Amino acid sequence: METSVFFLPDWPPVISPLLWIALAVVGAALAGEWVRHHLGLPRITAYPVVGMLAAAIAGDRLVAAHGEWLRTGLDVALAILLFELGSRVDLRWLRHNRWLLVTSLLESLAAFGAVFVVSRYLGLAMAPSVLLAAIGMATSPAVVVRVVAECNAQGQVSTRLLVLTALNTIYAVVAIHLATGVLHQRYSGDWVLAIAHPLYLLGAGLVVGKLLALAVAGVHRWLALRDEYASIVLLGLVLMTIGAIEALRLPVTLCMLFAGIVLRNGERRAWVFPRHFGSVGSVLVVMLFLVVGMQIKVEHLVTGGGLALLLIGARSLAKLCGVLLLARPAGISWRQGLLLGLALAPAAGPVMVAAADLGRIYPELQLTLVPVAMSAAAIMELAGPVIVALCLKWSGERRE
Amino acid sequence: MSSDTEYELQAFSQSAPLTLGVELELQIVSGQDYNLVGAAPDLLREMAGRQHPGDVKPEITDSMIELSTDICQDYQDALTQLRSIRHQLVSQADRLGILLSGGGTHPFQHWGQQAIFDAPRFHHLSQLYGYLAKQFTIFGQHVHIGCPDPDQALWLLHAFGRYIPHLITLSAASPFVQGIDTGFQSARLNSVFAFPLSGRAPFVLTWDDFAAYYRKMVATGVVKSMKDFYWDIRPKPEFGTIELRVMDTPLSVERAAQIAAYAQALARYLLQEKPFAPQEDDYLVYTYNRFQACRFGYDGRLVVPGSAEQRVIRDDILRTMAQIELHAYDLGSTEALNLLRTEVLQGRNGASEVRDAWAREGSLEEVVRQGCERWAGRLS
Repeated sequence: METSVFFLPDWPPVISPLLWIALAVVGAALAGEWVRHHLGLPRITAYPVVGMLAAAIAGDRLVAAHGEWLRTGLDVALAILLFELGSRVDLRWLRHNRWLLVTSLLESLAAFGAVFVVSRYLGLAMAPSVLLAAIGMATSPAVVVRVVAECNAQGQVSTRLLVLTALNTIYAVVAIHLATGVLHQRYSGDWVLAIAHPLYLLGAGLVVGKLLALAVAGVHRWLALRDEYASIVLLGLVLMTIGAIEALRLPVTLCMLFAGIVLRNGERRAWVFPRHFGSVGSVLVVMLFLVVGMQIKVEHLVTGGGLALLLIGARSLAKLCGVLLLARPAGISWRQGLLLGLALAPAAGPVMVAAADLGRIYPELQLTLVPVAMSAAAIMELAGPVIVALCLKWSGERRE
Repeated sequence: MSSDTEYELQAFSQSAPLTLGVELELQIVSGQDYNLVGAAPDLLREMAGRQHPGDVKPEITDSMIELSTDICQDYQDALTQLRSIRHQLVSQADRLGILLSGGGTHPFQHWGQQAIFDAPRFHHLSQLYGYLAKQFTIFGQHVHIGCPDPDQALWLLHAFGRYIPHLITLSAASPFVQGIDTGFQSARLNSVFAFPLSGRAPFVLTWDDFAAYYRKMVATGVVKSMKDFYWDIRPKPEFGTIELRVMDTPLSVERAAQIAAYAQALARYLLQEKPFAPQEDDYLVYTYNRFQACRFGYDGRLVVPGSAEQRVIRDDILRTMAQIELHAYDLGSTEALNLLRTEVLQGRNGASEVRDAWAREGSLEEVVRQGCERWAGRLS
């Protein structure tokens, strides 16, 4: 009986997770267009929502079955974003405008302090509080880069937003690794290890970044990286770097940011991030935001939600105050300061991933740190793009 | 819409003869992608209350800004004032992470991306002229020359017509438009010619006749004030000057001051020696000569008005420089004249420098970056 119809599918047909993911991608893309047309918001605001819904419908197996290649894809998307972000940091500007650098330090420190105090007040232990505070310093590079790119925004708010995000992401990664060093010390009592680890990360990160920048600049010199075909060379270089970063156990975030900064500031010649390469990245970004959304579970929004909201509020307020306090000396109006301070609110997804990793390494933190961090991440992944988009709109820097 | 019409021409103010005023329209360039960026409101806000001579004002699009000197006595005065304003502007631009540049056009900006500066007059112009207003994202140098009385002003205005090709050639700095080498040395003027009231002033030599002409034009409803005339040279009654408007903004303030000094010496030569009497027929060759200068610069050929004699523009400038040399000396601008003469002999102007940079670098972004460094005085 069965042999006669061996070529026909089972009934009912088995829908593989891959098909679910593909459906989610199409759904996200369409939802993105809808949001853009009817709400005037950037497309990416829709992606995490669709991801969350898809995961809620399809269940856990969605991400689990394809975790490996999805993670690689995300790393590439993120690496390109961070590379681009790094190349927007003009160190000469920071030299000319010291107040901008001071603003950056102040808003990051304020966010660190706010998150730390709230965590301690709510009874978290010292170590997870420090870790949470370090994570809280960073603004989400993915959200900021994509929203600014999609709004085609240009002006003081958007440019400073990019620079401040790049800087506070660097601080956060460094601080997290310093905190990890402290945890190493506490958990294994080895001081040498605690000091050597962050130093290795920073030093090697700079070297890898420098090498990538040299390679890209070298290719750029004899091959104008202007057309689509050249971006495959860039993509290859970025993939190679990711491979090297993994082999060396370095943080992608730091290496790619450093690479961008070195590339931009290494020589005087004008460097403009190739547009086509940006669009290679932007396709991957749909996946990035979708998958981030898939990892949000509705219960995340609820469990630890109160503490998460308090954390988000205190952190956002701290960042806002840090920026507003120095707005005039740094050369922006009060209004621009307000919008810039608010736009720094989105919390960084990649750093949240780091938190999850740490939770795995130190199971002690599973119960305290991880639920709060995941909850805050969930809320900010959904709200972050909308906040940034509105701030850019009100600043009048959107040009579509 | 007609509430602000000026029905009567303003009386011609008194100004000391041969004093100078220089206005420069500047490009505001993004430090991120070297394209124009609408940062005029930011720059004006940060400039407010800072000490410098002259004035800094908004222009029609957000990515332009205009600086102007106070009344200058001579070349040195103009140069000092320009350098001082430039210094203040550049240090504020540095704080904002933006760049400033001279040049008549931005090499690769797309006019569709420009935003109109938020002021009633500019919105009105945008409404009236449509895309022309946005295409007007071009950058010129204006030089005011003080005239003792209105009739002399009109006489000087028409006498200057013959030298318009010189001013175009010496200042030309707009070979690229929207990413393309136009072949012109001053492509900027092509955008000016699109306006209905561009070109030359009517040939009248007395202020009464000019006022009558103005009344007639206002009565037609075509113009509402002197500002609506986009002539190459126009009288500016409230300042008591004539305003030369054909120049591209040069790549440096030094060059701008030299060109102002050239115009001043030329005016002194014309007013004191009266080497010829301007006539309506001088304008027969006017647009031809102007085209030659815009297109070919020093190598262009102009027809000497009132004759059939053709001269290479380079030779005509050198010949004129010899004629005005003593006047330049008396005005204290020998240095300016010598520097300019070197440029003429080497066939160099802003347009050739932009093209050289393009040939050397192969990237318009890099051309713009170098232009900004040049303007800031960080590159000689």
